Amino acid sequence: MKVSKGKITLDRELSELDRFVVEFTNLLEQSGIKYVIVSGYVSILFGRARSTEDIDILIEKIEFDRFSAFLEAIKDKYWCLNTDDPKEIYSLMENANARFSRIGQVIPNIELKFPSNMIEETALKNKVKVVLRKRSIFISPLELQIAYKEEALKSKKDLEDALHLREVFKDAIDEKRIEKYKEIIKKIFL
Amino acid sequence: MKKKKILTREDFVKYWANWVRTHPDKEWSRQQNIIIDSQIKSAIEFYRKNRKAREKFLKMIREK
Repeated sequence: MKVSKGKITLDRELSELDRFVVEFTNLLEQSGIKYVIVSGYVSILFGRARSTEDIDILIEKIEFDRFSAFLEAIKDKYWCLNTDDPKEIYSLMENANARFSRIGQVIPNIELKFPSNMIEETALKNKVKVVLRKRSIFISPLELQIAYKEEALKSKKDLEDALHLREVFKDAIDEKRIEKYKEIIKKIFL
Repeated sequence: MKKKKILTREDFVKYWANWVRTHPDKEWSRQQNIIIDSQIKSAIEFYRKNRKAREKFLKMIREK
């Protein structure tokens, strides 16, 4: 694992979960849609000893027509678990999230949404590139992940995810940035 | 007699994270993938074979 500014190079063997994420994010990229992966999968990508059934992805706010074209582009491989109606899916993305899985499956699934607060906007704006062998994906800054899990989510699982990231990246993490993000989170959520 | 230290979950998380940090990516990921791939495979199989569970799962998502 090599860490440099805005980029992490990882030479891991890909899991089924990684392949699923790479495949879906490639489709987003092919449609020119900016995205960032947040939450549990980020810790799992860097070795956390657990799995997950859903992967949270934020995408830039785009017009309905562009989003509809994306749905058309993925329709042979993926289905939305919530509804078949593109307008309903778009509305879900604005207010909560829409789940996508490979056709015929329900797990694993991608929880896709538009950013709805400053923290989510920050994750998208400051995304970090992870080079996975010849592929690449974008994740939220590690400091933001840690701050969000320790300050907003706080479940046992989330605190362990944060601890894992702190230990794995102990030489690269900027503690001041974590504190700065925590202050923003407090203003938004508390 | 020397007492054995009981490892807490936090100790284990730190121990494993340190192992990840100090070993080649291919080595730790091979071990991690055993957990991930088996869980994903069994979940896919579960929902493929259990139509009722699958419908219940979808209903839960759609009613949210």
